[in-house]
Amino acid sequence: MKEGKGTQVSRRNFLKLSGATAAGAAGLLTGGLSGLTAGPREVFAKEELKVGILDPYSGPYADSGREQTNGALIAVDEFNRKGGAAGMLVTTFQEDTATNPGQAVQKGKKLIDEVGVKYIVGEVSSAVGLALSGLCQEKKVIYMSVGCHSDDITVGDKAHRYTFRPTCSNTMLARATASYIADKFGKKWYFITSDYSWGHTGRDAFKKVLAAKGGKVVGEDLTPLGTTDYSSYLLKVRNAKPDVVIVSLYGNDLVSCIKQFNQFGMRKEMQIGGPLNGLEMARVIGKDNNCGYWGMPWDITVDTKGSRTFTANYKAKYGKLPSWRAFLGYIGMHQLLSGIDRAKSPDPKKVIVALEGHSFDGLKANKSYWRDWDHQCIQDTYCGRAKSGAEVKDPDDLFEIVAMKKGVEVAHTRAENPVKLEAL
Amino acid sequence: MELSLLLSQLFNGIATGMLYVLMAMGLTIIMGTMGVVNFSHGVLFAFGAYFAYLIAEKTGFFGALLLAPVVVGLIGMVLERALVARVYGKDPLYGLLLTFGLAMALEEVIRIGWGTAGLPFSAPGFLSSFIDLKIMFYPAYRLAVLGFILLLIAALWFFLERTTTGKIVRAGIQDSVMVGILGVNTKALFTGVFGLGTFLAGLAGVLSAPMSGIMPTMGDNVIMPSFIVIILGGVGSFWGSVTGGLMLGIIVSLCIQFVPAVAELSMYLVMALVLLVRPRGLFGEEGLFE
Amino acid sequence: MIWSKKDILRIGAVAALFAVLPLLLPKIGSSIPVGTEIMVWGIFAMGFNILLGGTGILSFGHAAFFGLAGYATGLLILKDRLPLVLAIPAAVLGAFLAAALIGALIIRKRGIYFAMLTIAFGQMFYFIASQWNSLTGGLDGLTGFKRTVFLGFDITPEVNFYYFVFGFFLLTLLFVKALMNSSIGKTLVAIRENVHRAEFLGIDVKKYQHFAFVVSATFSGLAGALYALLLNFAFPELLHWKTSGDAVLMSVIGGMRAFFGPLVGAGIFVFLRDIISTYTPHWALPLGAIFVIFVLFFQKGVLGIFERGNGK
Repeated sequence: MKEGKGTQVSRRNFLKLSGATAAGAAGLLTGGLSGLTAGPREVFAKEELKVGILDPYSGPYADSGREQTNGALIAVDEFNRKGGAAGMLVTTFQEDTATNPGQAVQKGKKLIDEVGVKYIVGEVSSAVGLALSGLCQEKKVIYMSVGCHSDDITVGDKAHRYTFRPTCSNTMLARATASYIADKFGKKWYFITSDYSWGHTGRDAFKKVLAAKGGKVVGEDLTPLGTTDYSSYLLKVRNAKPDVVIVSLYGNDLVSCIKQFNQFGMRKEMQIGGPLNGLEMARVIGKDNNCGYWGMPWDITVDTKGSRTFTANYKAKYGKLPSWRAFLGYIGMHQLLSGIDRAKSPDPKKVIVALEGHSFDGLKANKSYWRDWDHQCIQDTYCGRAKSGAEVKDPDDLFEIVAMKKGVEVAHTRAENPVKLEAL
Repeated sequence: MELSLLLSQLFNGIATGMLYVLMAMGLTIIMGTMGVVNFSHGVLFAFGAYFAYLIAEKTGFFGALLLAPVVVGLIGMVLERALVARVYGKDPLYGLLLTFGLAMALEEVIRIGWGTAGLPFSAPGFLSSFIDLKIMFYPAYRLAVLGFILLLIAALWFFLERTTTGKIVRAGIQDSVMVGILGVNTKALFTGVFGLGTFLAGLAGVLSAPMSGIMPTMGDNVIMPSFIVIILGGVGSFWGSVTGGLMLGIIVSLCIQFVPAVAELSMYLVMALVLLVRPRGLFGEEGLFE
Repeated sequence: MIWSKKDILRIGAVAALFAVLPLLLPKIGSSIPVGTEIMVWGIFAMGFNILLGGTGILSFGHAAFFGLAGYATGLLILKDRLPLVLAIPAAVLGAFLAAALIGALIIRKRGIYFAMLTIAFGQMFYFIASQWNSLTGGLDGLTGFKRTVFLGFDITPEVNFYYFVFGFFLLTLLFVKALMNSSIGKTLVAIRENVHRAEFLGIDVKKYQHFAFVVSATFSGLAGALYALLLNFAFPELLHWKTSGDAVLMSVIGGMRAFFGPLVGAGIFVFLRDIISTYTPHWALPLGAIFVIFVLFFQKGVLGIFERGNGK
């Protein structure tokens, strides 16, 4: 695995191994310049900025994890090309969380205690993200919770001062999608929800919008994570005759559910939608079965200069188009490094202060910014339509953005979020 | 509640249960004959689906349906000769442990070979329509699978009851030592039975691929329900597997309809209850696996 | 004497090794919590092997007791309901009682049926933990608790916690050895070697097997309580049958008939996973392959390789 190289502890091994990481490769480019005065080893020793990347590379979310890391490495390249952050070249240390909270915490401790990183970027699963968030608060290490969407990361008593979320909360995604669906397809909804906090928060946000519009819940089911056969649930849905079935499922669960929704011919009878879908899943669902309206934090079709540049850079480096997972990895890492740059210091406390309230170009039409009281990144949030059949022109042309909401319109308000972040 | 919905759920339970019957048949003849609790049955099920994906690109779905299970069966025979055969006659514990490790390694082989994400796979076009069953519209593909497995069960029953080879296999399930004493080449018999068992797993994998998709964890998801089916029915019992599979399908379907909170739990509950009352399952015979 | 001189020497040597391990681990690319984890899994596997190696009974359900005690510890110290010194024994007691009850229900079943029943009961615990959102935090796991002081000893720092676990670890080694040396232990082995003879001799086989089941589950509970404190976190996978499978893996790789076998297995398992997973996400392949090789060719495990020609 050429991208799989990760943590190395002894400095003696550093050069040998770093050649394999993108950070190291970029570092050597710039290192060549400073190499005129000192040996590269000494340069690294003095000025390396260690950042830990914790993503799942094995287990059910391995693909998403790999994309997030790839995106993050684009940001590292960008900084190292211009001399690093706060004058220090960035070295990344990648570890596999395997979507297992136990392994993630152990790897996190290893990065923090032995490697000495002060920042951790990554993770897909909210369960693992919450575990890492707790660990990082305890160890006073900044955690960029790159791809965890469960509200809990920034809402309520599990939110932490050292944790930032570059992506949208599940509620933001649901609200951006819900009103579009309600206005367009009717207000009788059935809910199929993955039975854990991520799914619950998505369902609740959809329900709230539905209630505000005077709609009706005609039925609902909670399904265990890892369900592969939804046929019995779908029979219930069909019998309830809703206008729309809202599925708060992710990964393989979503793939199976949408495939079977098609198989039972329900696409002609009702609409389908939910808080989250994306390229990794749509590719597996297949263009014939792809359908519905979904919340999305980003898409390749977002037409801004920043997005076009990022997409081009990603394609140049990895030979394929980025999913929004890659986008999130990029934004998370980019924000961390530019925070360090502005703080002019690697001290996490100063970086936190530099990040809080900061507004930046998040590659979207409107500026994105970090809310200081909950560390949620407020940003444009999209509702995408999944394309299918003949309208799919190439394998990655699977979504079209049909609606966009400004971050403030969909994020929790202060009154809705009882969070109280710790003092620094 | 409407009667048609209840009937729909019952029917759907039977249809989904059939796939477990197929898995359980393979497991149970291997367990019954060689005394090996084959934990790698799930990953071989996944191999069936992945090979189908490869083959279907060249030949279409039916070529894959024909060839992929054969490939899996051959792999099963190689595994049996090279590894599993070494634990015959030892404590059944070793067979279980061996195939447990094998499953772990082989699942990783899938990830290395085909990637960690799933693969798209669809039923052939003419089976993607629906049939009006009066109580509901049902996917033609699922009906076809139901019919196909029913035929297969009949064929398997015919093979075991009416052919000489089948009778030897059945005798092997009853008492493989005795069969050996009677002059049957047990080595070939065991390899053949393992091949047949894994062939059935591969076949189940191909059939399930268009319904639930192809992903590395798919074997992991079916292995426990399959074990439950043979435990419910009784190890080594042909009709036990059929009954167990149908029971599982129906129970899960009805739980989803009426008490969804325990749907996942229900199969374990039922297994525990059945075993506490009938120690060898519904149709199990004394002497196997004790 | 409940321990022979040789036992004391061997356990002493292992204890000495683990006493200095925190100095070595960072030097070889690992970390102190990994050492703690080895001891925790060591306790789990040593206890587990009382049942597997001692009586030849395979359980795929011990993760339920491991996880149960983990959750119990977390819930008990959450919001300072109980001090650690009471929470840990209470959690272990919980595992003990659960095992006594479940054991009484299933110990009469044999072979594969017994193994499947342990999975069934284990999975029931798993589903309860993953679905009772209001109590356990559901699939997100139980957070918000933190290990702090144990009888005035601050176990927050990783090093301190390492030595805290080390104490339990040492007690486990001594207890398990004493048990296996005792007449109970000898009876267990006699049952394993020949059930019918044992029955003929008038031994109440099921009573002994039930005893072994409960004792091993109690150690699973102790390990679970310590593991939850190591992570300051409990999550449903702790109770999954695959976690039980890990304990089986450790016992077999290390050698289930050798006293230190499961411990060696735990060390190899944790260390390999920690190191290999840094370099490749496909760590399950070498681990599975190693396991297969051991089952086929080194049925006495790593330790068996060193004890050649020792008969059965």
